[in-house]
Amino acid sequence: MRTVTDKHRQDSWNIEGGGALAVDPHDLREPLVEGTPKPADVTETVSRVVESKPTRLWYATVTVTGALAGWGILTILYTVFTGIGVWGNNQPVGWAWDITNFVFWIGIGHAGTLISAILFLFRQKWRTAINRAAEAMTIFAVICALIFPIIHTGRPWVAVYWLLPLPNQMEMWVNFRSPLLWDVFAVSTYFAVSAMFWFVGLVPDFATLRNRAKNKIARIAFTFFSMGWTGANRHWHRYEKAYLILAGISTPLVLSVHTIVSFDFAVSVIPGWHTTIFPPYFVAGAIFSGFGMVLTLMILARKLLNLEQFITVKHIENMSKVLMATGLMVGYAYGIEFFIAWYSGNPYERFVFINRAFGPYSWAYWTMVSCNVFIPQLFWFRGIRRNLLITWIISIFVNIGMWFERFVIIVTSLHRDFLPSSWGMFTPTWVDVSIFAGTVGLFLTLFLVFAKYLPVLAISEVKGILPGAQPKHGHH
Amino acid sequence: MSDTDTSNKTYWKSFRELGKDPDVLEQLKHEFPADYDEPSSGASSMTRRTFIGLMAASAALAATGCRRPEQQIVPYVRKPEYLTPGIADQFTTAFTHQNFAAGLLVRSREGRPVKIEGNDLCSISGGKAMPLTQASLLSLYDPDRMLRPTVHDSDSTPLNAMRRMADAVREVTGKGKSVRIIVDEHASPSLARLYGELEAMIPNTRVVTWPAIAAGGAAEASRQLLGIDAVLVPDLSRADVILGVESDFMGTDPEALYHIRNFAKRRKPETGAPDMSRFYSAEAAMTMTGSNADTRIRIRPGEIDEFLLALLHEVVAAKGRGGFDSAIVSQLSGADNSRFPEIRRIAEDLTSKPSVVMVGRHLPVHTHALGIMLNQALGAIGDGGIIDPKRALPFSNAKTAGIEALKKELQSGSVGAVIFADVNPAYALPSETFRSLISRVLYRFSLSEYAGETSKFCSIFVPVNHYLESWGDVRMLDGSEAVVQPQIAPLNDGQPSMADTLMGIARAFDAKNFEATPTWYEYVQKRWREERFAGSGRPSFTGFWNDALRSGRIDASPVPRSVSWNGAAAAAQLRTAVGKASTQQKGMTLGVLPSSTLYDGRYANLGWLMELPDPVTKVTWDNVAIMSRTTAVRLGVETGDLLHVKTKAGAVHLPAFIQPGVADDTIFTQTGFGRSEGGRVSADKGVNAFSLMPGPDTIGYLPVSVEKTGETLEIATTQDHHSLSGDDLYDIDRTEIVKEGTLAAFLKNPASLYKNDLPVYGAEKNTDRPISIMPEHDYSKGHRWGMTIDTSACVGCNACVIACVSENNIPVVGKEQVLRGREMHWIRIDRYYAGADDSPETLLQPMLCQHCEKAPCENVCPVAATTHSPEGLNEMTYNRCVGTRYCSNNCPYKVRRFNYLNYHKDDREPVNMVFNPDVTVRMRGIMEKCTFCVHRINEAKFHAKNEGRDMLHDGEVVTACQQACPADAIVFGNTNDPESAVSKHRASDRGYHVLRELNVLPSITYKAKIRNTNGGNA
Repeated sequence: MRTVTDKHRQDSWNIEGGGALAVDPHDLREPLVEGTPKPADVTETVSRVVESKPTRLWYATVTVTGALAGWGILTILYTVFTGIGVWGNNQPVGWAWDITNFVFWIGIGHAGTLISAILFLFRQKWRTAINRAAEAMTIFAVICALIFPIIHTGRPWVAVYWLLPLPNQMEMWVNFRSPLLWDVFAVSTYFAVSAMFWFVGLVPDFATLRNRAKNKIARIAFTFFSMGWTGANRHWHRYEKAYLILAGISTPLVLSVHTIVSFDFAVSVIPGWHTTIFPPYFVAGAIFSGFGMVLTLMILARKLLNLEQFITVKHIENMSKVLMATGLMVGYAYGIEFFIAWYSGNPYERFVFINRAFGPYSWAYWTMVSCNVFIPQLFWFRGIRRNLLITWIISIFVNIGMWFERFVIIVTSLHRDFLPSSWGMFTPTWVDVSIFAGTVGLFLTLFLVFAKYLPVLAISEVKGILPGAQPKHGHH
Repeated sequence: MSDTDTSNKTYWKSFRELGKDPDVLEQLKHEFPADYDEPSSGASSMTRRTFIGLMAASAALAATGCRRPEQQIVPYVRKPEYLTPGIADQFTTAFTHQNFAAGLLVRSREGRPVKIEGNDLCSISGGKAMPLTQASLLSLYDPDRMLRPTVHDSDSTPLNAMRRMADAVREVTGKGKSVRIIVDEHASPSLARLYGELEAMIPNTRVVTWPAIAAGGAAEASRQLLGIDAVLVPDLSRADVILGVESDFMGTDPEALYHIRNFAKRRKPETGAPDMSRFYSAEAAMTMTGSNADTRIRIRPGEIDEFLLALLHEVVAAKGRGGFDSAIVSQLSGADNSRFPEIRRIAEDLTSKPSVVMVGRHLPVHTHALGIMLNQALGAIGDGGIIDPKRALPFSNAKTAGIEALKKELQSGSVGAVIFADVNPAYALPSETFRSLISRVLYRFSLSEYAGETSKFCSIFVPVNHYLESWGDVRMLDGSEAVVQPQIAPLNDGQPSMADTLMGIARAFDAKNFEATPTWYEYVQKRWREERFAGSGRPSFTGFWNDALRSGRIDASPVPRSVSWNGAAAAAQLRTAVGKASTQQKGMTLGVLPSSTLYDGRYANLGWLMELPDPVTKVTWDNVAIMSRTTAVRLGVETGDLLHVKTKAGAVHLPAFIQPGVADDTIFTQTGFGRSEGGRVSADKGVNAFSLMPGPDTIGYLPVSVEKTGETLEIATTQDHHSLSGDDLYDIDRTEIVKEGTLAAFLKNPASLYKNDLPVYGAEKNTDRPISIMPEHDYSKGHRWGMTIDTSACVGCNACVIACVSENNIPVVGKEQVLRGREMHWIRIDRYYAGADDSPETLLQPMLCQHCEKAPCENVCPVAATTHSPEGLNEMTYNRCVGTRYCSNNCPYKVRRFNYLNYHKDDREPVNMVFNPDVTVRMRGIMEKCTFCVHRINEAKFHAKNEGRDMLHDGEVVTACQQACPADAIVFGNTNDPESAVSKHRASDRGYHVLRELNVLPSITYKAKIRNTNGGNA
């Protein structure tokens, strides 16, 4: 059974498969892979990265990022052994960089699953070139995020397990009404499912690498992780089914995680937090920030790992479009928050938003608006979408803007709430900065290690979108 | 991880395997570097090397984890008689603050005093105590007080020191030179007798009273005009109209406790009981007392005399000549009252009702004379009047002349030896002045609780006892007396009291001296036997004495005094006043006033007081140059700019602080700060304002020059300046936070207090409870705890704050942490301004955990560490808390406090003995907040259970804040009982809930502030 759409696609693929000399470029989609590589070329290109010795540049970069991560770990230990007082948090600003960083990293973690699950279900074939790296990025971002709910507590040595509903002789249970507990479930589920999804996708590639491995350790490792994959039809069948099911499971998680993270704020009574728009607003923001980070990393990776052939300008452009769309959603949310604050007639709510835009933290607010709403408007121009340098710079702004979004929501709402008598200000300390820098270092280190030692492209999937690859699979 | 070695065996062992750097090992032993003094973020004291070392050590320690300090408890081998572990004992004693004394009840646990409260049998304290009094408990355990006597800077014994002092006295008196013993103001009849006897026993010796805060105006004016050489104390509860002329009678005056109690009695109007006094205040400084005025008139310091003259003119015009002769009346005709448009109405008000005028203690004699003339014209002075000559501060006679005479003697070289008996003139005088005074004195000795600045100039220093360690007695302002009894043996073993030391010197001088009463205890008892027991009609002195100890007071006939009006003196003072008023002062004026928290700096080493926010400025840990915004603009400074403040006596650097309500071209600062030898806590906190005062008065006004230094200093305030409908940007309606109204409007329509058409809540009767998604609690059985706080009665004295600190082991966090906004007080006095910047109306609102029925904090705690009790308490389980701080974020009142660091870690022995054993000392990483003194509730329940009761009587549980409140603004009890006091207060038409619209249903009902302004609807 073949639908009209399928027919159309097949035709277009046929034409594309015929070469770059398309009849009418406006009718046709841009090729997802540049040139006419053979499947073996894909294997070769991707595997060569894994099998070659790391370059000096790689070593140099990992040293820097690793040092940053190490410094972060030291400052975390310093915090744990001294107290949260080494941070700038205070009364009334009980949460500041800690939860800002948590939400920031969780947001970054959204692109991966969105790309691998939702775009998979929507059959967006262009995802195949970026999904592996995006998923890896998700996992590393969630690892960075998970640090903060633990270390932001005053007594992390008990928080580590008291936040889990573990049966105990005192029958002392967690408080199921607390959004923080929902977070524990949401984030851990998300992490588990994302990791599994990523791993399942990696299995055929592990097998490829196993087959090519010359190094004994590599062979043993890849043999273990490829779990006896032979490429048999039955394996492929099971694999495709499992992948589809995991994609199905992951899809609601993409929406749920940030929805629940937003409940931390939306369920409270604090003006500026107590807002029903938060769930969709947070999800849009998360996708926005996730794609921002994917762009930042991919533009670099395609260059450094010689993957321009597979991660094409079209990919970059598509992601820019997603970025602009979600940026507009976020901008809409900023606007509607102000409207509702005025429309509600609630003096506290009104005050919070006026204070955000014109109070002592207005610089943070306008940084956020500029980075997230104004600057992405440049993507209306095709020339800018296809200009890698400008796109990369914009993606950095998006990263900055989204960090500030969380900072603005958390700190400006807390620092001046109901009673003016308890108003205060927040100033970060060197430890705050160090820990955040440390997580950036950790994230980049993990990504660099991944990019070096694991197939950064989904070899098997990319083969499926090679020119001419698709029509030969007549198994629909 | 304490520095005891019991718990550390494993970590030493595992560490040796990891690293062998002895520096690191040493670091580990203390967990933090040796110079880690104040709790801080560590940024300043930590070098890179120690940091890395610490990190390595931390990694090693991660295996053993973070444990709380291990401590060992040892049971009594032989149980002391009359002492049940876990049951508090209460003993009476008395506290003396300058000439003011009040009875105390000190709670002891296992033999150590843990809380100071007023003695409710005492007519003066009425069971209440001011912050300074309560905090004096901490000084008992102050390690900086634990000193050895020194003779020429080497350690000695008290006996040896006394012998050496007696030798010196013998030497100088033999040469015909004189001996002067300089003492502080006191309220002890036995001390007065001792001083007299000392003068008789040692030749050429006189005892001179020279307090740090010397302000002779009141007593001198009273001596001259009324023939009474004492500071008379009015009974404010009998005045319908009170006019304060820069009088901080509820703040810095030593007798403030007495005044707050009487003032507040008439400040709680209800619809059925509308009686309320009216309080005007005319002042240049923004005093705590003035901020409570119904009408506050801002005048310049130079206008104070003019204001009083104009008023006197109006009053005399209204009352007829009164008792004044023409010498007085004729001088008043020139008074110019056009500058004070309010003055006619005030005069009408004063003359039509029983009224009194209070003049600030720091003001000069002629200003006090004007006050006395006004009171005389108003008929306030006289037997049975508001100012009854029977009520006077004991031993409050005019001292300026004596001090000036002593200064001359010292400079002339006729004095051979000076004994500074618990006074500290080296701190309380400009250093040049002090040096010139002592330069010709051969022998200088110091007896003092703390080492102090003066001891630096003395060859012999003897540390003396704390009043909680010694015997003594006091006379109170109404003539009743009380015994000061020791609560604990001297913590510094063998330390004598100041009186014992003086007696010891006299005995060493001549063995016959004090032969009959070799100890101060016997001396005091002897006086009581002779003066109080004789004529009491009691059969045995032992019984009389024990009763006096038990009840903490005895009635005694007041010292008889009678007014003899001296019209000539009045006319002379009036002439001075007229003369001063006509010479206008140009340029900047400096006002030096006593600190509201530290007073004269004697107790500056107490962290509790240092961290206590000033009632008006809310500044902690520093004194500041307070000025109006206009002055600041004129000087081109902002809050925090360091100023070079220079008078003819000296110069200091003070940070500018812009304060609403202060007169223009005037700068105010406070004494008590800037101690250099006051102990570790007080060292280098603020600057010494005494050094600006040339004397003879050490508080008051003088010309000053002010320059910007270009530097800034961070000022640790607990509350920034936010008026309720304040600056342009934040013009928002927050009338749901504080409610106020005028008396006339309230009586006409109580609902006028409630804007925005919200139903009257406090009356509960009209309330339709809004629906909530949270389940309803069932409080129908047993108790349901609630509180009411009357913002009309609250004057902002901070007594509740210190009571809470003392009761609940609240840590002192230090200036750096206050700057970061991490002060730990469970109750704070929120202060809001309304109206113009230069004449603001002040609103005070004590804010503590509201124990909401639908508490937002309870929902969000992931580990259920904060939960609701069946009795309506919002409970905090410290053991369970992991410290997410979510509860605090979600608290609309921001009353939760988080232990960001281990604030008790640096407590030095024996400060830990001050802790209340009924309340957990919290470690870092834990949230805490007001518990409604749940331990007191439980204690009361134990007693009730022993008596076979399930229910507590009304008033059986008294929270610490309620107990301390001199204004009785706080009422706590069972709201399930319709007859309980709290239930009745909750039904007041003034009742409201703060942030009612959030529907969190607080258990605290506030009562609206009522202003009894003249003219009703103003």
